[in-house]
Amino acid sequence: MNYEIVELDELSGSKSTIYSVIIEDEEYTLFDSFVEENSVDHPDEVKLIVNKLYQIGHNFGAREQFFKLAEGKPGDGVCALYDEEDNKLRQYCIRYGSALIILGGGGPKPPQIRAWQQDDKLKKEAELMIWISRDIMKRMQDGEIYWSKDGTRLLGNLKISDNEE
Amino acid sequence: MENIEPKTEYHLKGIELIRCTINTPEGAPALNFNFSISLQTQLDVMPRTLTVIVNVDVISDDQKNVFGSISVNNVYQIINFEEAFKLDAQNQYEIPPKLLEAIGSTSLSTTRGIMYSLFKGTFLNNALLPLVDLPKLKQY
Amino acid sequence: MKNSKPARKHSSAFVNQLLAETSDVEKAQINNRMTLATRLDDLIAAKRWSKSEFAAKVGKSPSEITKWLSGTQNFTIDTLTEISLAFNLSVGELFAAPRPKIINHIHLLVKAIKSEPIPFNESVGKKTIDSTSGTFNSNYPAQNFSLSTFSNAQS
Repeated sequence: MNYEIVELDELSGSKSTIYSVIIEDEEYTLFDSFVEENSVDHPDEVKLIVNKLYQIGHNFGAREQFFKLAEGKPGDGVCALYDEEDNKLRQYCIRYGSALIILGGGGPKPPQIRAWQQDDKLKKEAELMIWISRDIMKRMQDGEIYWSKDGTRLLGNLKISDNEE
Repeated sequence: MENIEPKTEYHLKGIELIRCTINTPEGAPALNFNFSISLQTQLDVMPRTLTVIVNVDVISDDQKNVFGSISVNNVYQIINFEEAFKLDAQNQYEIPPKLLEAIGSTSLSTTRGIMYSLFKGTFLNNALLPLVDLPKLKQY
Repeated sequence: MKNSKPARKHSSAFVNQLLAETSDVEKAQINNRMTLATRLDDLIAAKRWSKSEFAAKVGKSPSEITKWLSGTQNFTIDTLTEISLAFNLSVGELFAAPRPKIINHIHLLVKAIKSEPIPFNESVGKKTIDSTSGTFNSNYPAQNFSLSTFSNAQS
Protein backbone atom coordinates (compact mmCIF):
# COMPACT_ATOMS: atom_id res chain seq x y z
CA MET A 1 0.00 0.00 0.00
CA ASN A 2 1.38 3.41 -0.94
CA TYR A 3 0.80 6.49 1.14
CA GLU A 4 1.93 10.04 1.74
CA ILE A 5 2.56 11.76 5.07
CA VAL A 6 1.30 15.34 4.97
CA GLU A 7 1.44 18.13 7.52
CA LEU A 8 -1.95 19.49 8.64
CA ASP A 9 -1.65 23.22 8.18
CA GLU A 10 -4.44 24.36 10.49
CA LEU A 11 -3.56 22.10 13.40
CA SER A 12 0.24 22.21 13.45
CA GLY A 13 1.81 24.85 15.65
CA SER A 14 4.82 25.78 17.70
CA LYS A 15 4.22 23.10 20.31
CA SER A 16 3.59 20.12 18.07
CA THR A 17 3.66 19.23 14.38
CA ILE A 18 0.52 17.35 13.40
CA TYR A 19 0.48 15.10 10.36
CA SER A 20 -1.97 12.75 8.76
CA VAL A 21 -1.76 10.19 5.96
CA ILE A 22 -3.17 10.10 2.45
CA ILE A 23 -3.62 6.53 1.27
CA GLU A 24 -2.76 5.80 -2.38
CA ASP A 25 -3.89 8.84 -4.39
CA GLU A 26 -6.98 9.77 -2.45
CA GLU A 27 -7.96 13.38 -2.03
CA TYR A 28 -8.45 13.35 1.70
CA THR A 29 -6.33 12.33 4.65
CA LEU A 30 -7.33 9.63 7.11
CA PHE A 31 -8.22 12.39 9.58
CA ASP A 32 -10.34 14.22 7.02
CA SER A 33 -12.25 10.98 6.46
CA PHE A 34 -12.76 10.55 10.19
CA VAL A 35 -14.16 14.09 10.45
CA GLU A 36 -16.39 13.72 7.44
CA GLU A 37 -17.72 10.29 8.43
CA ASN A 38 -18.67 11.32 11.96
CA SER A 39 -19.64 15.02 11.75
CA VAL A 40 -23.30 14.33 11.01
CA ASP A 41 -23.99 11.85 13.83
CA HIS A 42 -21.55 13.27 16.41
CA PRO A 43 -20.98 16.95 15.52
CA ASP A 44 -20.11 18.17 19.02
CA GLU A 45 -17.64 15.42 19.69
CA VAL A 46 -15.90 15.89 16.33
CA LYS A 47 -15.66 19.63 16.94
CA LEU A 48 -14.18 18.99 20.38
CA ILE A 49 -11.59 16.59 18.94
CA VAL A 50 -10.53 19.09 16.29
CA ASN A 51 -10.23 21.87 18.87
CA LYS A 52 -8.26 19.70 21.28
CA LEU A 53 -5.82 18.87 18.50
CA TYR A 54 -5.55 22.56 17.67
CA GLN A 55 -4.66 23.29 21.30
CA ILE A 56 -2.13 20.44 21.29
CA GLY A 57 -0.46 21.85 18.19
CA HIS A 58 -0.40 25.47 19.30
CA ASN A 59 -0.38 25.58 23.10
CA PHE A 60 0.42 22.36 24.91
CA GLY A 61 2.23 19.81 22.79
CA ALA A 62 1.23 16.18 22.52
CA ARG A 63 1.64 15.43 26.22
CA GLU A 64 1.06 11.81 27.23
CA GLN A 65 -1.80 12.75 29.52
CA PHE A 66 -3.98 13.73 26.52
CA PHE A 67 -3.81 10.25 25.00
CA LYS A 68 -4.71 6.67 25.72
CA LEU A 69 -1.38 5.06 25.11
CA ALA A 70 -0.58 1.54 23.97
CA GLU A 71 -3.58 1.08 21.72
CA GLY A 72 -1.47 -0.77 19.20
CA LYS A 73 1.33 -3.27 19.67
CA PRO A 74 4.08 -2.60 22.24
CA GLY A 75 6.46 0.16 21.20
CA ASP A 76 4.74 1.18 17.96
CA GLY A 77 3.47 4.49 19.37
CA VAL A 78 -0.10 3.85 18.26
CA CYS A 79 -2.51 5.49 20.67
CA ALA A 80 -5.87 7.22 20.78
CA LEU A 81 -6.87 10.71 21.74
CA TYR A 82 -8.27 10.39 25.28
CA ASP A 83 -11.99 9.70 25.26
CA GLU A 84 -14.22 9.31 28.27
CA GLU A 85 -16.51 6.35 28.87
CA ASP A 86 -19.55 8.19 27.64
CA ASN A 87 -17.84 9.53 24.52
CA LYS A 88 -19.03 7.94 21.31
CA LEU A 89 -15.91 8.19 19.15
CA ARG A 90 -12.38 6.86 19.17
CA GLN A 91 -9.67 8.51 17.05
CA TYR A 92 -6.30 6.82 16.48
CA CYS A 93 -2.87 8.36 16.03
CA ILE A 94 0.83 7.62 16.25
CA ARG A 95 2.60 9.66 18.90
CA TYR A 96 6.31 10.40 18.58
CA GLY A 97 6.96 12.25 21.83
CA SER A 98 5.25 15.52 22.61
CA ALA A 99 6.35 17.34 19.44
CA LEU A 100 4.98 15.16 16.64
CA ILE A 101 1.87 13.11 16.01
CA ILE A 102 0.38 11.44 12.95
CA LEU A 103 -3.42 11.38 12.95
CA GLY A 104 -5.28 8.41 11.61
CA GLY A 105 -8.89 7.49 11.37
CA GLY A 106 -11.28 6.09 13.90
CA GLY A 107 -14.96 5.66 14.43
CA PRO A 108 -17.82 5.07 16.82
CA LYS A 109 -17.05 2.81 19.76
CA PRO A 110 -19.99 0.57 20.57
CA PRO A 111 -20.62 0.52 24.34
CA GLN A 112 -20.58 -3.25 24.54
CA ILE A 113 -16.98 -3.69 23.33
CA ARG A 114 -13.91 -3.58 25.52
CA ALA A 115 -11.23 -3.56 22.81
CA TRP A 116 -10.97 -2.43 19.18
CA GLN A 117 -10.53 -6.00 18.04
CA GLN A 118 -14.22 -6.50 18.77
CA ASP A 119 -15.44 -3.89 16.27
CA ASP A 120 -14.82 -4.16 12.51
CA LYS A 121 -14.45 -0.45 11.82
CA LEU A 122 -12.18 0.27 14.80
CA LYS A 123 -10.17 -2.86 14.02
CA LYS A 124 -9.62 -1.71 10.43
CA GLU A 125 -8.51 1.78 11.50
CA ALA A 126 -6.28 0.59 14.34
CA GLU A 127 -4.61 -2.07 12.20
CA LEU A 128 -4.00 0.49 9.46
CA MET A 129 -2.19 2.77 11.94
CA ILE A 130 -0.20 -0.18 13.29
CA TRP A 131 0.87 -1.05 9.75
CA ILE A 132 1.79 2.57 8.93
CA SER A 133 3.73 2.87 12.17
CA ARG A 134 5.74 -0.27 11.41
CA ASP A 135 6.44 0.86 7.85
CA ILE A 136 7.65 4.28 8.99
CA MET A 137 9.85 2.65 11.63
CA LYS A 138 11.40 0.40 8.99
CA ARG A 139 12.08 3.35 6.71
CA MET A 140 13.61 5.28 9.62
CA GLN A 141 15.96 2.39 10.27
CA ASP A 142 16.91 2.45 6.58
CA GLY A 143 17.46 6.22 6.74
CA GLU A 144 14.78 6.95 4.20
CA ILE A 145 12.72 8.91 6.70
CA TYR A 146 14.45 10.83 9.46
CA TRP A 147 13.95 13.58 12.05
CA SER A 148 14.78 17.23 11.63
CA LYS A 149 17.60 18.44 13.91
CA ASP A 150 15.16 19.94 16.40
CA GLY A 151 13.13 16.74 16.50
CA THR A 152 9.87 18.42 15.49
CA ARG A 153 9.52 17.37 11.86
CA LEU A 154 9.83 14.36 9.62
CA LEU A 155 12.07 14.69 6.59
CA GLY A 156 13.03 12.48 3.73
CA ASN A 157 10.91 10.36 1.45
CA LEU A 158 7.43 11.00 2.83
CA LYS A 159 5.56 9.90 -0.29
CA ILE A 160 5.89 6.15 -0.30
CA SER A 161 5.23 4.63 -3.72
CA ASP A 162 7.27 1.46 -3.70
CA ASN A 163 5.08 -0.72 -1.54
CA GLU A 164 3.25 -3.64 -3.03
CA GLU A 165 -0.55 -3.63 -3.00
CA MET B 1 27.29 17.90 48.75
CA GLU B 2 27.08 16.67 52.30
CA ASN B 3 24.58 18.14 54.73
CA ILE B 4 25.59 21.46 56.17
CA GLU B 5 22.81 21.07 58.64
CA PRO B 6 21.44 17.66 59.59
CA LYS B 7 18.32 18.08 57.49
CA THR B 8 19.40 19.88 54.31
CA GLU B 9 20.80 18.03 51.30
CA TYR B 10 21.68 19.98 48.19
CA HIS B 11 24.04 20.12 45.26
CA LEU B 12 25.12 22.66 42.68
CA LYS B 13 22.84 22.12 39.71
CA GLY B 14 24.10 24.75 37.32
CA ILE B 15 26.07 27.92 36.71
CA GLU B 16 24.87 30.46 34.16
CA LEU B 17 26.90 33.44 33.04
CA ILE B 18 24.27 36.07 32.33
CA ARG B 19 26.36 39.13 31.62
CA CYS B 20 29.98 40.27 31.41
CA THR B 21 31.12 43.73 30.36
CA ILE B 22 34.48 45.48 30.37
CA ASN B 23 34.63 49.24 29.86
CA THR B 24 38.22 50.36 29.28
CA PRO B 25 38.63 53.85 30.77
CA GLU B 26 40.22 56.62 28.77
CA GLY B 27 43.48 58.08 29.97
CA ALA B 28 45.44 56.64 32.90
CA PRO B 29 44.62 53.12 33.99
CA ALA B 30 42.50 52.68 37.06
CA LEU B 31 44.40 52.33 40.31
CA ASN B 32 41.73 51.36 42.74
CA PHE B 33 39.03 48.83 42.21
CA ASN B 34 35.92 49.01 44.32
CA PHE B 35 33.14 46.47 44.18
CA SER B 36 29.41 46.82 44.31
CA ILE B 37 28.14 43.32 45.04
CA SER B 38 24.55 42.20 45.02
CA LEU B 39 23.40 38.73 46.12
CA GLN B 40 19.79 37.84 45.49
CA THR B 41 18.47 34.44 46.52
CA GLN B 42 15.35 33.07 44.81
CA LEU B 43 13.29 30.06 45.77
CA ASP B 44 11.55 28.17 42.95
CA VAL B 45 9.17 25.65 44.45
CA MET B 46 8.27 23.49 41.45
CA PRO B 47 11.80 22.53 40.38
CA ARG B 48 12.84 22.66 44.08
CA THR B 49 15.78 24.94 43.51
CA LEU B 50 17.45 27.89 45.18
CA THR B 51 19.13 30.33 42.81
CA VAL B 52 21.71 32.84 43.99
CA ILE B 53 22.12 35.67 41.50
CA VAL B 54 25.44 37.44 42.01
CA ASN B 55 25.91 40.83 40.35
CA VAL B 56 29.30 42.50 40.66
CA ASP B 57 30.19 45.95 39.36
CA VAL B 58 33.84 47.00 39.46
CA ILE B 59 33.63 50.73 40.06
CA SER B 60 35.80 53.81 40.52
CA ASP B 61 36.45 55.54 43.85
CA ASP B 62 33.76 58.12 43.18
CA GLN B 63 31.39 55.30 42.18
CA LYS B 64 30.62 57.15 38.96
CA ASN B 65 32.42 54.85 36.56
CA VAL B 66 31.77 51.17 36.07
CA PHE B 67 34.92 49.52 34.77
CA GLY B 68 33.41 46.11 34.42
CA SER B 69 30.49 44.04 35.53
CA ILE B 70 29.47 40.44 35.74
CA SER B 71 26.28 38.61 36.56
CA VAL B 72 26.21 34.91 37.43
CA ASN B 73 23.30 32.60 38.34
CA ASN B 74 24.22 29.80 40.74
CA VAL B 75 21.47 27.17 40.86
CA TYR B 76 21.25 24.70 43.75
CA GLN B 77 19.03 21.64 43.76
CA ILE B 78 17.45 20.91 47.15
CA ILE B 79 17.14 17.14 47.42
CA ASN B 80 14.97 16.88 50.52
CA PHE B 81 12.89 19.98 49.88
CA GLU B 82 9.78 19.10 51.92
CA GLU B 83 11.88 17.84 54.80
CA ALA B 84 14.26 20.81 54.89
CA PHE B 85 11.85 23.68 54.32
CA LYS B 86 8.80 24.06 56.50
CA LEU B 87 5.93 26.41 55.91
CA ASP B 88 5.38 29.09 58.53
CA ALA B 89 2.09 30.57 59.69
CA GLN B 90 2.00 32.90 56.67
CA ASN B 91 2.45 29.95 54.29
CA GLN B 92 6.01 31.06 53.46
CA TYR B 93 8.90 28.62 53.35
CA GLU B 94 11.45 28.90 56.21
CA ILE B 95 14.92 28.61 54.75
CA PRO B 96 17.67 27.76 57.29
CA PRO B 97 19.99 30.81 57.64
CA LYS B 98 23.09 28.61 57.61
CA LEU B 99 22.05 27.24 54.22
CA LEU B 100 21.65 30.77 52.88
CA GLU B 101 25.13 31.67 54.15
CA ALA B 102 26.68 28.52 52.70
CA ILE B 103 25.23 28.93 49.22
CA GLY B 104 25.91 32.68 49.33
CA SER B 105 29.58 32.05 50.08
CA THR B 106 29.83 29.30 47.47
CA SER B 107 28.20 31.56 44.89
CA LEU B 108 30.61 34.41 45.63
CA SER B 109 33.55 32.05 45.25
CA THR B 110 32.22 30.70 41.97
CA THR B 111 31.68 34.22 40.69
CA ARG B 112 35.20 35.19 41.79
CA GLY B 113 36.64 32.38 39.70
CA ILE B 114 34.58 33.28 36.65
CA MET B 115 35.50 36.95 37.05
CA TYR B 116 39.17 36.15 37.22
CA SER B 117 39.10 33.96 34.12
CA LEU B 118 37.13 36.54 32.12
CA PHE B 119 39.10 39.60 33.24
CA LYS B 120 42.50 37.92 32.94
CA GLY B 121 44.77 39.76 30.53
CA THR B 122 42.70 42.94 30.60
CA PHE B 123 43.18 46.05 32.71
CA LEU B 124 40.87 44.36 35.24
CA ASN B 125 43.32 41.52 35.68
CA ASN B 126 43.87 42.54 39.31
CA ALA B 127 40.25 43.21 40.11
CA LEU B 128 39.95 40.20 42.38
CA LEU B 129 36.63 39.91 44.15
CA PRO B 130 37.52 40.23 47.83
CA LEU B 131 36.61 37.61 50.41
CA VAL B 132 33.37 38.38 52.17
CA ASP B 133 32.48 36.75 55.45
CA LEU B 134 28.72 36.60 55.06
CA PRO B 135 27.88 35.42 58.61
CA LYS B 136 29.72 38.43 60.02
CA LEU B 137 27.53 40.87 58.12
CA LYS B 138 24.99 40.56 60.88
CA GLN B 139 27.39 42.30 63.20
CA TYR B 140 27.27 45.50 61.19
CA MET C 1 22.13 12.73 -1.25
CA LYS C 2 19.39 12.72 1.35
CA ASN C 3 16.05 14.22 0.46
CA SER C 4 15.68 16.83 3.19
CA LYS C 5 12.32 18.19 2.16
CA PRO C 6 9.65 18.42 4.84
CA ALA C 7 6.17 17.02 4.34
CA ARG C 8 3.78 18.69 1.95
CA LYS C 9 1.32 20.97 3.77
CA HIS C 10 -2.30 19.94 3.55
CA SER C 11 -5.14 22.32 4.23
CA SER C 12 -8.41 20.71 5.27
CA ALA C 13 -11.71 22.33 4.49
CA PHE C 14 -13.39 20.14 7.14
CA VAL C 15 -11.00 21.23 9.89
CA ASN C 16 -11.20 24.86 8.83
CA GLN C 17 -14.96 24.84 8.98
CA LEU C 18 -15.08 23.24 12.41
CA LEU C 19 -12.55 25.67 13.85
CA ALA C 20 -14.50 28.60 12.40
CA GLU C 21 -17.71 27.26 13.93
CA THR C 22 -16.15 27.09 17.39
CA SER C 23 -17.11 30.10 19.47
CA ASP C 24 -14.59 32.06 21.52
CA VAL C 25 -16.21 30.78 24.69
CA GLU C 26 -15.86 27.17 23.59
CA LYS C 27 -12.21 27.73 22.63
CA ALA C 28 -11.48 29.31 26.00
CA GLN C 29 -13.24 26.49 27.85
CA ILE C 30 -11.17 23.84 26.06
CA ASN C 31 -8.00 25.85 26.64
CA ASN C 32 -8.72 26.28 30.35
CA ARG C 33 -9.45 22.59 30.88
CA MET C 34 -6.21 21.61 29.18
CA THR C 35 -4.27 24.29 31.04
CA LEU C 36 -5.50 23.00 34.36
CA ALA C 37 -4.79 19.40 33.38
CA THR C 38 -1.24 20.33 32.35
CA ARG C 39 -0.68 22.26 35.57
CA LEU C 40 -1.97 19.35 37.63
CA ASP C 41 0.36 16.95 35.86
CA ASP C 42 3.32 19.25 36.51
CA LEU C 43 2.41 19.67 40.18
CA ILE C 44 2.16 15.91 40.70
CA ALA C 45 5.54 15.46 38.99
CA ALA C 46 7.11 18.22 41.10
CA LYS C 47 5.99 16.47 44.27
CA ARG C 48 7.33 13.18 42.87
CA TRP C 49 4.04 11.51 43.60
CA SER C 50 2.66 8.66 41.54
CA LYS C 51 -0.91 9.01 40.26
CA SER C 52 -1.98 6.48 42.88
CA GLU C 53 -0.37 8.51 45.68
CA PHE C 54 -2.08 11.68 44.52
CA ALA C 55 -5.36 9.77 44.16
CA ALA C 56 -5.06 8.65 47.78
CA LYS C 57 -4.43 12.22 48.95
CA VAL C 58 -7.61 13.50 47.34
CA GLY C 59 -9.67 10.39 48.01
CA LYS C 60 -10.18 9.38 44.39
CA SER C 61 -9.38 6.35 42.24
CA PRO C 62 -6.38 6.36 39.87
CA SER C 63 -8.72 6.13 36.88
CA GLU C 64 -10.46 9.30 38.09
CA ILE C 65 -7.06 11.04 38.18
CA THR C 66 -6.35 9.86 34.63
CA LYS C 67 -9.59 11.51 33.62
CA TRP C 68 -8.62 14.71 35.47
CA LEU C 69 -5.33 14.81 33.58
CA SER C 70 -6.87 14.15 30.18
CA GLY C 71 -7.89 17.74 29.58
CA THR C 72 -11.58 16.89 29.36
CA GLN C 73 -12.63 17.43 32.96
CA ASN C 74 -14.89 20.31 33.95
CA PHE C 75 -13.87 20.75 37.60
CA THR C 76 -16.21 22.09 40.27
CA ILE C 77 -14.91 24.72 42.66
CA ASP C 78 -15.18 22.21 45.49
CA THR C 79 -12.94 19.74 43.69
CA LEU C 80 -10.45 22.52 42.89
CA THR C 81 -10.40 23.44 46.56
CA GLU C 82 -9.57 19.85 47.54
CA ILE C 83 -6.83 19.68 44.90
CA SER C 84 -5.28 23.00 45.93
CA LEU C 85 -5.17 21.93 49.57
CA ALA C 86 -3.36 18.74 48.61
CA PHE C 87 -0.60 20.92 47.11
CA ASN C 88 -0.65 23.64 49.78
CA LEU C 89 -1.64 26.19 47.15
CA SER C 90 -4.50 28.60 46.70
CA VAL C 91 -7.05 27.82 44.00
CA GLY C 92 -5.71 30.78 42.01
CA GLU C 93 -2.22 29.31 42.06
CA LEU C 94 -3.54 26.17 40.37
CA PHE C 95 -4.00 28.20 37.21
CA ALA C 96 -0.64 29.90 37.15
CA ALA C 97 2.82 28.60 37.85
CA PRO C 98 4.23 30.62 40.74
CA ARG C 99 7.25 32.77 39.98
CA PRO C 100 10.46 32.27 41.92
CA LYS C 101 10.23 34.10 45.24
CA ILE C 102 13.03 36.39 46.32
CA ILE C 103 13.82 35.31 49.83
CA ASN C 104 17.04 37.22 50.48
CA HIS C 105 18.80 40.22 48.98
CA ILE C 106 22.16 41.57 50.14
CA HIS C 107 23.94 44.55 48.65
CA LEU C 108 27.56 45.23 49.55
CA LEU C 109 29.88 48.07 48.65
CA VAL C 110 33.51 47.10 49.11
CA LYS C 111 35.88 50.05 48.88
CA ALA C 112 39.63 49.84 48.40
CA ILE C 113 41.36 51.82 51.16
CA LYS C 114 44.98 51.27 50.20
CA SER C 115 46.68 50.40 46.95
CA GLU C 116 49.95 50.77 45.11
CA PRO C 117 50.29 51.82 41.48
CA ILE C 118 50.27 48.93 39.04
CA PRO C 119 52.68 49.59 36.16
CA PHE C 120 50.51 48.95 33.12
CA ASN C 121 53.16 47.47 30.86
CA GLU C 122 54.82 45.16 33.38
CA SER C 123 53.91 41.56 33.26
CA VAL C 124 51.61 40.67 36.05
CA GLY C 125 51.65 37.52 38.06
CA LYS C 126 55.43 37.25 38.49
CA LYS C 127 56.08 34.98 41.41
CA THR C 128 59.15 33.89 43.30
CA ILE C 129 59.43 31.12 45.78
CA ASP C 130 61.89 31.43 48.64
CA SER C 131 63.04 27.86 48.96
CA THR C 132 64.68 28.34 52.39
CA SER C 133 61.79 29.86 54.17
CA GLY C 134 59.08 28.38 52.06
CA THR C 135 57.36 31.73 51.66
CA PHE C 136 55.64 32.78 48.50
CA ASN C 137 56.14 36.27 47.10
CA SER C 138 54.09 37.83 44.45
CA ASN C 139 54.30 41.23 42.84
CA TYR C 140 50.55 41.58 43.02
CA PRO C 141 50.19 44.76 45.03
CA ALA C 142 48.34 44.19 48.23
CA GLN C 143 44.94 45.85 48.32
CA ASN C 144 43.13 46.20 51.58
CA PHE C 145 39.40 46.47 51.51
CA SER C 146 36.83 47.66 53.89
CA LEU C 147 33.17 46.85 53.91
CA SER C 148 31.88 50.38 54.01
CA THR C 149 28.16 50.07 53.44
CA PHE C 150 25.69 47.33 52.93
CA SER C 151 22.03 46.65 53.04
CA ASN C 152 20.34 43.38 53.85
CA ALA C 153 16.84 43.27 52.46
CA GLN C 154 14.72 40.23 53.30
CA SER C 155 11.62 39.77 51.14
